[in-house]
Amino acid sequence: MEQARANIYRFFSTIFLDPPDEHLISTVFPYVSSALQELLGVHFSLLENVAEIREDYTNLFVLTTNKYLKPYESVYLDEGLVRGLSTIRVQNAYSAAGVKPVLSDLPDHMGLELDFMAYLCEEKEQNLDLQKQFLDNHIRLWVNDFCARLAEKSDTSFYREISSALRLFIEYDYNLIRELQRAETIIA
Amino acid sequence: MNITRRKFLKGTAALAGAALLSDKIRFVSSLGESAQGPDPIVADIKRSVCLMCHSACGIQCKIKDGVLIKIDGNPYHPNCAEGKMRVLFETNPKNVTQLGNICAKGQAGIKEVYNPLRIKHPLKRDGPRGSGKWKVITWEQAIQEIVEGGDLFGEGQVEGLRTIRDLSTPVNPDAPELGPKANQFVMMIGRAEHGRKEFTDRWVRDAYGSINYRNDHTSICETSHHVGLDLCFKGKHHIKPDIVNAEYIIFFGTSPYEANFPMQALYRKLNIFRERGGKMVIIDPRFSNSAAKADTWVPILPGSDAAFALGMMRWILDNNKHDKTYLENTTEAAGNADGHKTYTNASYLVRLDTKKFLRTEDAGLGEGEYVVVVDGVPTAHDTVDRADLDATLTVNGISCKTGFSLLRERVNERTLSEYAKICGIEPAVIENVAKGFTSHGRKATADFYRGPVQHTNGTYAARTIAILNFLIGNISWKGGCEAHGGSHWHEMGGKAGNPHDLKKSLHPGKVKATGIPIDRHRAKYEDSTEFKKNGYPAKRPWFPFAYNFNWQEVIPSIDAEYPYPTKALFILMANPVYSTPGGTAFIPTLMNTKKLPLTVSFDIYMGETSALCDYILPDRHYLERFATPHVSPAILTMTSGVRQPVIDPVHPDTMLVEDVLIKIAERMNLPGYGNNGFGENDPLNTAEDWYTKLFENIAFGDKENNAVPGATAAEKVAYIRDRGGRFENVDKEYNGEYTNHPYKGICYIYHEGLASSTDSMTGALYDGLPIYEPIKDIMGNLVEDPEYDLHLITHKLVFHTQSRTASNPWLMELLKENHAQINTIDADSRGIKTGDNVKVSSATNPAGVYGKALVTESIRPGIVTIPNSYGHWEAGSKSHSIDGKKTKRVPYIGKGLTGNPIMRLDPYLKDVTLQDPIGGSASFFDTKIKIEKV
Repeated sequence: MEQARANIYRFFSTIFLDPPDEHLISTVFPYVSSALQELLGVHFSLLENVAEIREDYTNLFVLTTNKYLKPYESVYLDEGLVRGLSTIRVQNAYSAAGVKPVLSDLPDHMGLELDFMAYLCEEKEQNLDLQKQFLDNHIRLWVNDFCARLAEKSDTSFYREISSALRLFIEYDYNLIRELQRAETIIA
Repeated sequence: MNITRRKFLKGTAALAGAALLSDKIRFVSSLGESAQGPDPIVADIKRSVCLMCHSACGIQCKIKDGVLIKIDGNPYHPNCAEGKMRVLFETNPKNVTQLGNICAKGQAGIKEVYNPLRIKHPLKRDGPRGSGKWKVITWEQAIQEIVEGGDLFGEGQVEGLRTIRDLSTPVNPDAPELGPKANQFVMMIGRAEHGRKEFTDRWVRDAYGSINYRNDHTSICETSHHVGLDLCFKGKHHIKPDIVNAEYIIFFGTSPYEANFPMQALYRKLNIFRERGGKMVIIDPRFSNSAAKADTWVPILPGSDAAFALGMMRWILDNNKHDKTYLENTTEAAGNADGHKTYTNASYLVRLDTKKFLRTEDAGLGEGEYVVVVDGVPTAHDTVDRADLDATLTVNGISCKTGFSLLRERVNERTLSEYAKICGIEPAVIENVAKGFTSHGRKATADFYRGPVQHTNGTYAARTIAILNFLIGNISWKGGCEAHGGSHWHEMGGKAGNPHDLKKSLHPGKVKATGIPIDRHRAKYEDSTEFKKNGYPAKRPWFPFAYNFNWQEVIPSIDAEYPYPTKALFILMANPVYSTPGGTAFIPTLMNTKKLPLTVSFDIYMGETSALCDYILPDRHYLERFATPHVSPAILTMTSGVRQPVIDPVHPDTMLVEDVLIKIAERMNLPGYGNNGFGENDPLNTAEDWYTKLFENIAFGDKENNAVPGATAAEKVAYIRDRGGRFENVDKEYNGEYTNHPYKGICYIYHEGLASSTDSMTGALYDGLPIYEPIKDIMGNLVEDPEYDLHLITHKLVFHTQSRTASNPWLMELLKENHAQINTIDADSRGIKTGDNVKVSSATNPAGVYGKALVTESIRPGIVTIPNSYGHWEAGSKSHSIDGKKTKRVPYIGKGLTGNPIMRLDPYLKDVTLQDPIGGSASFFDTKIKIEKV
C-alpha cells in the first residue's frame, strides 16, 4: 500500500516539476488515472496531446505570465511572496526528516512537498505521524487554493482534471492515514 | 478492515508492485550535514541603515575578524520585511534567524567602503583650481588655513572663516534686510540625512550665524512634489498610496519597481497588491519596469501630467463621480461626523477681486473665519456642517464664488478631447482611467513623484494630481491615499518623553541667523529694497514657496553676486556640476577665485565638483558613521532608523564631518561646542556626543513612559542600536478603516496664499487652483526650440543612485555603459542602429554629448531617454597628481553619457536650468534635442 501511495504522490509531483513527456503520459498516466478514477470517482478525458500539455505546463509553472501559478506555499500563506516563513518551516520539516531536496528550486514548491510525501511513504519504518503532520502543517493548508488556481488558469482538460483529482486525493489519503493510525493504536 | 483502506487496496492494486517514477525521486539524505542552514559563516552581526540611496532601508552587516563581508536586509526594519516576515521589535537580536530584503545597491555598499578610489587624506590643491594637482596636508593645517585664511595658494590673500563671520556689519548697507556679512559663508549639502542635517544646521545657522545653511539637493530631486503637497495639506508634504489594501493606483511619472523610495518596500507591497487583483496604471512616456507590470501604460507627452489630471476631473465632474458629501463638509468636525479624518475648503467663498477667501467680517457676519453658502445664503463656515458646492454671488458688494465653482470653471475651460490632445493620447484613455479611479470607493489613489514635477509647471502639476484624491475623499483611509505615514520618534526632542530638547535648548550662546538666503528660497521679493527701487522683474527669481532650498540657484547666484557676494563655500556629499541639469555651466564660477575665494569639499571620492575645489576633506563612509534616518509614508508604522559605524574606519586619516566642524568651532570659539557645548559640564566634543543625545531621545520616545527596555539610558540606547533602530510592530499599521497615524484636518482645493502671491519676475499672480501650464522660461515666455525635434527625458536605473555609484565595481558590472534610448521609428528615419555612436545636442549645448544608441520600442516615438549615473569625467576616470605621484585612472568608470550637460538653460537667465518658479524644482524633462549618427 505504501508503494502505491508513493507512486501516486510522485506522479503528482512529477507533473508539477517536469515538463510532461511521452513516457509519463502514455505509460505512467494510464495506471495512475485508472486507480484515481476507481478511488475518487474522478474522470480523465485526456483530450490533449503531449505537446499541448507541455505548453500548458510551461504557462503554469515556468513563465511568469498571468497564468503563472506561483506554486509555492509561502505565496499562498504568507502575504503573497516567495521565500516566506512557510518556506523556512518546510525546509525545517525536510531537515528534521534527515533529507534535503536535490532540486534547485524553493523547498515549498507544491511538487517538492508532494514528493516529500512519496519519500515518507517509501521509508522502511512506518511514520504515519510525520505524514499526517506534514499534511496538516503544509499541504492541506494550501492545496485547495492551489488546485482552484490551477483549474482557473489551466488551458487543458489534463491539468483541470488533475486539479480536482489532487484535491480529492489529499483528503482521501488524509483519511486513510488517520484510519491506519487508529489501526496501529488498536494493535498496540 | 475499514472502508477507505479496503477501497484503496482494491483500487491501487496495479500500482502496488514497484516504484513507477524511480528516476524522479527528489530527496537525498542530509544526515551528517551541519544544521547551520545555508549560511555557515559565523560572523558578528551589526545593524545599521543603508545610504546607497535615500530609502533608508535597514541593513544587517556580517563582520568577520573586523572585516565587513556581507550586507543583508535588517528583518526588524519595515522597508525590508512585510507583515509576518518582520521580526517583532521585542525579539532578542540573538534569536533572529531570518534576513530582510535588500537591493543590489544596498549589497554593493561593501564595494564602496573598501573602494580603493576613496580619498584617504586631506588634500589641498597644489596648482590652479581644477589642475588635478594636490598635496596631502594634515587635518591641523587644513583647519588652521580654512579658519585663519592668508595667502593660501600663492595667489593673494584669502579670507578665512574667522573674518568672514561678521555678525554685525550688513553685507549691503543699502539693503539691510539681506543680513550680516556672515551670510557670505555658504553651505551646500547634497544628500542631507537626519542627524547630520540637524548637526550642520546647528553649526552653520545657529553657531556660525549664516543664513546659508544646508542648501540641500532637493530641488534637483523633486522639491515641487513636496511644495505642491504642502499647498494641499497643512504642514505635510508627502503622499503615498496605502498599497497593500488599495484596489486601484495611478502612478504619474514614477516607476516604483525601479526607483522612488523606499523602492524595495514599494515593489514588495505592489506584488501583494497585484496578487490580490489590484490595478496599476503607469503614466510615463517610457515603458518602465513598472509599466511592464501595470494593467495600463499611458505614454503621455512630458510635462502634460496636469492636463491628464484635469481631463480626469472633467470626466469625473461631468459624470458626478466626485464624493459630493465629502466635499460639502465645512469643518474637521463635520468631516469626522461624516466618517472622514479630513475635510476640504471646496465650499468656502473666494473673493474674485483679491483672490483670497471671503472673511466673515467682510460679509457682515461678525467675528469668525470663512464664509460658505447654504441654500443661497452666506453663512459662517463653522456654524454649519454642510454647504453648497456650486455658488456664485455678491456679498456686501464683493463678487464671490466657491472654490468648487472656480474649480469647475477651470476644469471646463477645455474639453476632454482638448486635454487628451495636450497629452498626445486618445480621449478614451483619460476616460477609462477616470472611470477606474472612481470605481473603487476610497481604495484608489492618484500618486506621483519626480516625473510631473521636474518641469517649469511642477508645483501646479503636483497640486492638480493631488486634488484628484480629494474628489474621491480617500485621504487617510485604509487602502486610500496616505498623507502622514508611520512617521518617527523625534530625535531632536521637544516632546514629553524626550530627555533632550535640542531644538529649543542645549545650545548656549545660540546665534540668530538673519537675512535673505543666497538662493532666495522662502523669501519675498516685495519686501526687498531692490523691489522698492526697481519693481519687477527682480534681477534673479525669488522663491517664496520653495521651503526646501533652491540648489540650482546657489552657484549662479554666487556668480551674479546676487543678492550679495560670497566668500567661502563648503560642499558636503555634493556634486552640483555633474548632478544638476546644465550643471557644467557652474564650472567657470567654481574656477573663479574672485567670485568664490575659498572652496572646501567634504567627499569620499573625487567627484566632478570636488575636483575643482581648494580643499578636499575626506569624510567617513556611511558604514563608518551615524545618522537617524526616517522613512517615507509608504511605511505606516513608526520608524526611527539608527545608522552607526559597523566597522572601524578603513582609513584612519579620514574624519567625520561632524568632528571636523566641532574642531573648527572650538578653534573659532563658536557657541555650543566643547566641554560645555550643550550646557554646564555637558560636552559636545565628538560626533558621538551629539548622536548619543539623538539616540536617547529615540530610545526614551515621544510620550512619557514610552521608553524601550533598559535600566539605564546607555542600556536603552544599546537596545535600539542592537536592532538598527526603533520600530513600531506591524500590527499597528491600521486602526479600523483608517491608517493608524492618519493625516487629520484640512485639504486645500483652493490655496489663497498661492493665489494672492506675485511672481518676482513676471509680476503676475500665481494660480490657486489645479491648472495646466505649458513649459515656460522664468519670464513666463514659452520655450520652443523648433530646430530640435526630439524630447529628452531621463530615468533612473534600479542598480544606480544618481551621481555617486559610478565607481562601484559590482554595480558597474551590471551595465558597463548606458545608452541614449530612442524609438525604432525615430531611429530608422535617422539611420541609427543599436550600438551606433551618436551625438545628442540641444539649443543651449549644440556641441552636445556623445554616446551609444539603443533602439527600442519601449519609449514613445519623439522621446529620447538617457538613464542617469553614467558619463562621468571624474570619479576615478581621470588621473590626478597627489604629492607629485600620478593616481591610476580606472577604465570601467566614465563610460556612457549623461544628459545633464545638454539640458535647456533658461533663455532669460542663461546660466541656470529651466525651473519651477513656485516650488523651485529644476527642469529635467523640458529639453528639445537633436540626435545624429557620428
